[in-house]
Amino acid sequence: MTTDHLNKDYLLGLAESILALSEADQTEVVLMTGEDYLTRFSKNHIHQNVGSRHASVTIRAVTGKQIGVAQAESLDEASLRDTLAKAQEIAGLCPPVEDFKGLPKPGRIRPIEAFDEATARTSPEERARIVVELVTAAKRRRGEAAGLVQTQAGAMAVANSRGVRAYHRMTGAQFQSVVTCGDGSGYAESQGTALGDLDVRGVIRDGVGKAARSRKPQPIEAGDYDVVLEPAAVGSLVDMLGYSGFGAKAFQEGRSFMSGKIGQKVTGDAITIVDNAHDARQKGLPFDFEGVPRKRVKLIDRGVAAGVVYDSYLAGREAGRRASTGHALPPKYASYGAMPMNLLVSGGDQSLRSLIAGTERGLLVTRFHYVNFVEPVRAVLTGMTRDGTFWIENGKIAHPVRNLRFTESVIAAFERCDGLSRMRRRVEGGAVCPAMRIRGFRFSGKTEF
Amino acid sequence: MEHLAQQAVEWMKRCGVAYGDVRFVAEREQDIAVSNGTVQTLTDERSCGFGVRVLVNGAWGFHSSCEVAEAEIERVVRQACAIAAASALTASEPVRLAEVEPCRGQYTTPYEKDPFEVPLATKLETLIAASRAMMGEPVVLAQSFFKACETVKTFASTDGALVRQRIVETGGGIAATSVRDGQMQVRSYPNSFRGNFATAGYEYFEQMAVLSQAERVRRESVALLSAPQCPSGRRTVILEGGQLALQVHESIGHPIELDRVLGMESAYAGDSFLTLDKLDRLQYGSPLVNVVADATVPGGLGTFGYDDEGVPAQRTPIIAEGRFVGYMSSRETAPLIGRTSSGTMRASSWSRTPLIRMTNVNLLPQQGTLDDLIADTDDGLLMATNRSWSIDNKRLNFQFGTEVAWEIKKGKLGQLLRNPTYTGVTPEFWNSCDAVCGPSEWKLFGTPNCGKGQPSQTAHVGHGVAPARFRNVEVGVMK
Repeated sequence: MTTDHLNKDYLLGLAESILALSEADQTEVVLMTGEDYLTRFSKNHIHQNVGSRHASVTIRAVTGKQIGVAQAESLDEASLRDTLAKAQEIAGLCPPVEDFKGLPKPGRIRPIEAFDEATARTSPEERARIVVELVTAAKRRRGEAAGLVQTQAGAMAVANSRGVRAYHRMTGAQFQSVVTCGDGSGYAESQGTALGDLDVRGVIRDGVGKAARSRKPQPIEAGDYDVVLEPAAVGSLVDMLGYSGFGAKAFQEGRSFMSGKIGQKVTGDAITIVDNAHDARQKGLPFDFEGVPRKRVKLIDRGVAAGVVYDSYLAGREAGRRASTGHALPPKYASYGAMPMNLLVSGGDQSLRSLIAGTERGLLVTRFHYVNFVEPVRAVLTGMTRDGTFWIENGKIAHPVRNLRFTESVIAAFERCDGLSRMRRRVEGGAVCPAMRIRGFRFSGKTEF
Repeated sequence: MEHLAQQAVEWMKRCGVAYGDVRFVAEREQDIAVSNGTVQTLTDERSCGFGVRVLVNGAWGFHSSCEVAEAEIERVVRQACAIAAASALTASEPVRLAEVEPCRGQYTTPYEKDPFEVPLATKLETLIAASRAMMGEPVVLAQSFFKACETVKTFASTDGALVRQRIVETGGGIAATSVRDGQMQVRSYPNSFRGNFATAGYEYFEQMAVLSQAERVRRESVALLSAPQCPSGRRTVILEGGQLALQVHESIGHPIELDRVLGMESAYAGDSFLTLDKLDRLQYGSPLVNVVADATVPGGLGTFGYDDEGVPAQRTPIIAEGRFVGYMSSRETAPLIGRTSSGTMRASSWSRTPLIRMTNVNLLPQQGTLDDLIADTDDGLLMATNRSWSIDNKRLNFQFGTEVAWEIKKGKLGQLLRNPTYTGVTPEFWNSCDAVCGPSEWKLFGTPNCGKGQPSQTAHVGHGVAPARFRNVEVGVMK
């Protein structure tokens, strides 16, 4: 593929041309472009293999306090003009948003180097070769491999009539595998900015090994068990906290477990969670969808509620002249408010092995499936274990077990965290997480496999 | 677009593909969200592009682009072929497609009022009034929603199919969220998660009459704050339409997708307990449980003329008098069970490859009204409007929460209960069904957020249901 469409001058040039044409009091332009490739495999062969070139423009036009948003998935001149006209038309029809304080002014953006030319040019054969390597290893253990290899390259520019000019380009790569050996399965994954960052051998070793060890899972009853959660399992819980609790909208409306509790203890001492796009393991967007620089935000500090993330609108409607933290979503998702995008959970001083060794009787959980809210304000979640659940006896993995359903308040469960691994991993969903031991984790149901 | 589609087919043939198809898709979406009397989202979104799918050396390749131009179409065809050739590096058995008669036809959603022609001011007036009618302590979030989508698709294949469709969808709803003393309670109308949706025009949104329901929605949201917690235990449960629709969706709709059964989704969404040996053998539910996958039912959110392989829309029996009799399939998967495609392959946009997706997976009505059913229930719960859902990766163990429950004592509705949840295992649950209401209670619910696939795809699907009763259900799983 070529990477001309990711060019800074090209995207910011388009943005300038839209701003020059606009008749609105204030105008914001968000441009995104890129190519995504995803090779998907199951039962040891590639069954879906897709690529896409995409581009979009989103224009927010502001007249007084009237706001109009229009979006198109095309960057040709006619589409840009039509989209601007539509945004202006909507702004003229939309009632004023009284607590809107205006589009943000420019801030100093610290660049993040997250583009790898080789990843942007990855061929279908290179992705397929990774699949072949995994399939070969799976077949040696009479296993079947499923999963994906993904490479992406994209660029984003944000400009507004108050002087914001922001540009970023990035690549990403991901390798996920679920290997099945008989009635056992094992999950492993690796993510990075570049294809070369991926721990391909580690994913193959862990996925195939865990599947082989998961054969013949034994039945287990629901109940309260000590658990050692691997990073992927921790990530799916933390993602949900981010969705429901760490954004200013839910916080302001009293719908977050953080509402009214800044400075108060909300969970265990072991838990510190920050959002930081600049962390080397995250390499997120250096600015948000309003072009505001992303700040590092401490959300929970040793169990104490420390803060939530804001966009300019939510910051402006809170007393005390609060500033945006640079966590605006795309304008079409404005009704959801601001969200953290680069969560990091602090690690501890243990290894995964020592967390298991410190568990007399309990469960090792590889990952959770279909996690969803039961009660958002108490952060009560439910979900299933999958792809590698093991019984721990006297500090050692004894045997695989069938999957269980948990129903548990995550913030209450985190109070019972008594061990974190030094090792942290960026997992599906984007959070960087350690392994975590929790005492008395509540499993409310069981299944048949 | 038809000449570009024919041109793409020619390039595919020149590249020597065993099979190829192209979809040109133009989409338009208007999305309005009002919160506490203020417009939070008002967007107009347009999208146009095409996707090319080819079979080369017995393996699939797909590529798509937003640049609709002849040179780009040729480039994308070549890219799709290169991707397919790479897929073939791991191919075991070559893909074989079920024979179908190549279709040439058109389909347009029937509707009375084009939702995009209705003035914005008319929509905003209704939405703002409904939101304002729900405002005031302890309601922290008084929301109203409207959404309209138009999808124009041109499909052509190397088999000779050429199909043009225009699908129009409209929907919306209201929700009141109340907060007090660490409790949060929500009531929605006509369904949770932004309302209800159909293939229809603006008349569908008008018929909802959201403003007329706003006061009730607010009242119930507030009342739930002081309602008792729903007690735990084995109970008789009646599920109203919105919740039953999601129950059908998760515990029937997904497991009958033949691609899941064959492992094609196993690493992500999961597979299915409905292994091939269960076809025509498994007693999925009680004899009252009759289910069809019907892409032809008027107004269903999963209603269309042709799927994205150019196969005509169909009504496929899934469960007949409780027995499992059919899957939803595609041209690739149907021959593996000796059947023809059930016409359920759909892609969420031009940039995605088609997958087997639910159409309208409908529980057929039996007899009686909801009032009759309540009167016939000595001791139980009526649960309404989904709030929480989760199911395992083979679609066996599920857990749902609803916005509200009412006690039923001696055939009469009693007090309101908060935070109701129930859990079960799919075949046990459906076999415990001992009543389904009749045609007068049967209603279509649109699910506009059905996730599947990598890269992710969100499908718009439907479920027709009438309230139903289930015995010995495990209610309440929370501390």
